Amino acid sequence: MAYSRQSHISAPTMDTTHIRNFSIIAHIDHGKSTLADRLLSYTGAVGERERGAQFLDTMDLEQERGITIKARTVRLRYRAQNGEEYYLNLIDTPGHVDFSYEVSRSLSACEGAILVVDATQGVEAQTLANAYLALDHHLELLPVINKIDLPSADPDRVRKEIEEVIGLDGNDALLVSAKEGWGIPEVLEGIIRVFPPPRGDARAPLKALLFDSWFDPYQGAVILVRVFEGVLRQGRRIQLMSSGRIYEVARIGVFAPRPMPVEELGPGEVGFVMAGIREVTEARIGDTVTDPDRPTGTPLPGFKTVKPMVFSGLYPVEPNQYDALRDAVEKLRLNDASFTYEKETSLALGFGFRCGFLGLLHMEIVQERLEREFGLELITTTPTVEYRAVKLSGEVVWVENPSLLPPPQEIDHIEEPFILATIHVPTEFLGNVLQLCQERRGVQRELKYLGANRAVLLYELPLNEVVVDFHDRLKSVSRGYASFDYDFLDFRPADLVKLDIRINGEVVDALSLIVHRDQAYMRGRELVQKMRELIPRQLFEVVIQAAIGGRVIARETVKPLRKNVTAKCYGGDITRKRKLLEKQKEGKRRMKQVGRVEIPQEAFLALLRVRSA
Amino acid sequence: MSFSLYIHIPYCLVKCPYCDFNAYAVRTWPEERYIEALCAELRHYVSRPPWDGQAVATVYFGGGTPSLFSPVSLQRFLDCVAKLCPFVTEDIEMTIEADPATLTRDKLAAYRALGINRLSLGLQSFQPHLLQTLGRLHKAEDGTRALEWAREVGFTNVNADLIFAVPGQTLALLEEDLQQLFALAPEHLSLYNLTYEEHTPFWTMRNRGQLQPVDEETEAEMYLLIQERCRAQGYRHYEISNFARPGFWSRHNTTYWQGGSYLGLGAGAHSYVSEPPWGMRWSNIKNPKTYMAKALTQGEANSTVEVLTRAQAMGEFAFLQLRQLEGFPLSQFADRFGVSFMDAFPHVTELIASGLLQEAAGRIQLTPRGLLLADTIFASFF
Repeated sequence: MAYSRQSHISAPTMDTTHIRNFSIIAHIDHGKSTLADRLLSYTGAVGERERGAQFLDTMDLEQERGITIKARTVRLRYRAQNGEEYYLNLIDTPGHVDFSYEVSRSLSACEGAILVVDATQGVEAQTLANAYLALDHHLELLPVINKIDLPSADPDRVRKEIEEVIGLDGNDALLVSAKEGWGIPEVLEGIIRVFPPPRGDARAPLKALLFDSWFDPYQGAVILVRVFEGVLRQGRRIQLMSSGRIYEVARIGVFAPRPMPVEELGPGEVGFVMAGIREVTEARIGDTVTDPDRPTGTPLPGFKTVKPMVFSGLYPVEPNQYDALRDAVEKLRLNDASFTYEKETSLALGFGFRCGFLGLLHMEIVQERLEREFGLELITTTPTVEYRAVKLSGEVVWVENPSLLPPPQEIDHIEEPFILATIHVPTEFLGNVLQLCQERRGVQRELKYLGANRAVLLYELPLNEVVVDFHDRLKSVSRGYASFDYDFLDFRPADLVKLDIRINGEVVDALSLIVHRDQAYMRGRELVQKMRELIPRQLFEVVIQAAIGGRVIARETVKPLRKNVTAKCYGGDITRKRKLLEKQKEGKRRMKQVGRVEIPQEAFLALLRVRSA
Repeated sequence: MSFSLYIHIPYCLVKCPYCDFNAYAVRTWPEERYIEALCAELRHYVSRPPWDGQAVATVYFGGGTPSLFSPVSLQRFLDCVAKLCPFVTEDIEMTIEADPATLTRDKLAAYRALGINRLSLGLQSFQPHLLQTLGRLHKAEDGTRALEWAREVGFTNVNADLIFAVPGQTLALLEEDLQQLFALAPEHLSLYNLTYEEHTPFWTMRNRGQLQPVDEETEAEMYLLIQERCRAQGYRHYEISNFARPGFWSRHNTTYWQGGSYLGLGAGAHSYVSEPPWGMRWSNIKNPKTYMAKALTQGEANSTVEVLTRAQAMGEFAFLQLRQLEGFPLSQFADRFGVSFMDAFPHVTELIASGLLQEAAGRIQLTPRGLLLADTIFASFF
């Protein structure tokens, strides 16, 4: 990390009245990052030349997707219209529900949040989810209607939605075009007016929130903290309360927006700390930082260890890329404690990793980073969720790979994860969306209308029904107009069975899946039919079966090869004939053997990659 | 030791849409110059080992369409052979492939007079519409008449080529073809299942759906019907596609299957010598003009040379010998490679157990079922 040794800035440790800590929250593409950039350039934190590229998003990928993956924080120096100087700490949050825990920790570091709503699109699923999350953390909200420069902007309608849907006073909403730079001074004044200054006793024992961390090859884990009480000083010892581990503070600084050293951080202040923490997994988000010699008696609430919810197998397309893939996932894990991986061997795909992700977006991001930053070609298996199998003995087994489910006679019941989905949809597509949710075993919890043309649906859905193509289907049945957000609810017992695919009697592990009993028959039929098309004829008959336990529910056969003989052995051109045979043999070598049956890898891929329609 | 001599004539009046041989459709062809090139090549090789001092056991004019060449031209070449190769086996087999569309009775008589004692006629079918599909120039009656002429001018060893599983062909139509064929009573039959070869119009047409191939099941039934009918007529099924009256098997082609040495002359011709240790194959430049230029100046016109590895030689041995229905004596494999066939290819035990190969009287051979699945079996040796 670049670390300038220029003049140490003395932080206003004792006076918190001129500090504001805030976040910007919004639905995707409503203009959060553009607004952040405007605030930076207006306050002079970023020079003209650095604009254009959105400053807060550091990774390529974030810029391309228009979302922020890792939180970053910036201190803005702002001289207000009252002539006084303020420090505004903009704490950026990840923009997606997969990172809701991280979002909640970032919000915990703030007193207020700017709620950005698109002047054309109005309140969307994530607008609402983020607003509720901010209100849960007792944050003051400053609504901003963005993109008012667009011809289709309808600020009056959006004001009404802000009142009716979120319950804020629509008249308080500021009209802004971050793109054109309209309304930016009003936003800065609003921050000072609406958001309360932080409070905290500098003489109390140190109590700070660790709300982000990342890996630096030279410094180890760098952590971002918000001090609530006490003072964090360079050279002093700190303790991370969840692990009890103690470190010595090597450096403290703030991002202004370049890293700039300071000697201490007092109550209400936000900054980074380097303390020789070796790995990001030690620096858990949500942890409380304290003084080991005089620890706080009340750690900050809300800490939890995040657990992956969605799992998928990642395999290199070329088996010789396995080592490269291993190096890459190790490196990614350095910066992403919520991503998990363990080695997995698949009959069809060879060596790879079973990876755990917070959600679907997280999974996509990791895959893309592996492919783009590490130049890997990957095969990704259909995502699955983790099941909770309760055995008759009372023992609980977590099952993330269907082939590892205990035998049925040992199982009392199986539970699957449920989510609460919030779906915003124009009423003309409501019927389609309701039907989709019904197909996916959803339970309707609430249906609200926002004016005449829009509805908000709350649905309880099994996560398993959402992980594969729910989002795509939702977009397609609503012509792209529906927006979707979800929260994890709980694990619920369900009538789930393990569906096995057998080829000439042998179960093919890689193809087993856990499905709801009602869907088992249909899925079984689909799978064996698809398999029949993909397995070439062999020297003997091949029987493909779908079975639940010992009961066969679908069956197809591939008739034996009848004739394969080349009539002519060319006028002495034996080389060519031999090469054809060698090619035929090479084709067989690439096939996977199940018993005596040879199955092309493409057949596995077709089944593992996508859910058949 | 003796060897076989193959002469490739790369010219045709039209190129058949299924053919991927080295053949070029032409209006005129440089007959004299081409014969000179062949003689130059022959001169080059027979003065060198391993060909020098060896007897020529068979001569085969293949193509293309060798019957485009006049008897005079072929005589010039055969004179070279007589001059340069003093050793010729007494019962030499000399074959010419002929397209009925290019034959007259006199021409056939002249070929016979040159000492050519085996005629291979490309009849392909007796059904006018199938001949048309195959792009042949001759009519069914041309084929019948050519065979009658052949008899009249003294050919006592005649082969007829037929192609089956032509798009549009049914089992009943095949049966008709076979009856007409048997009526002509050739000594030898080559009955080829139509193969769709890459880089041919048939390949493209099939892939575009313009040609509907006979389905695998029907092809199998056709092949079985052929075997049954030919046997009933007293032909011995001795190679995947070949049937012969006793004593009339093609000795030239058998050289290929049994690993004998052969010298191929002409554009794109292939040669093989069984030494050193695991054999060597080479082929000539395919383009006739380039071939002639090089052969005339340097005496040889090689384009590719391949020295076989032991593993390749073992695989070739297995698949070539097994094309013959009698298979091969296991001792022959062990003598050549110093390892038993079963040790070299342990999966043979499985193939026997699956009823694809069988062992009898020290020989290994395809079973009737193995015959239908020969390529699958052959691929397992590589």
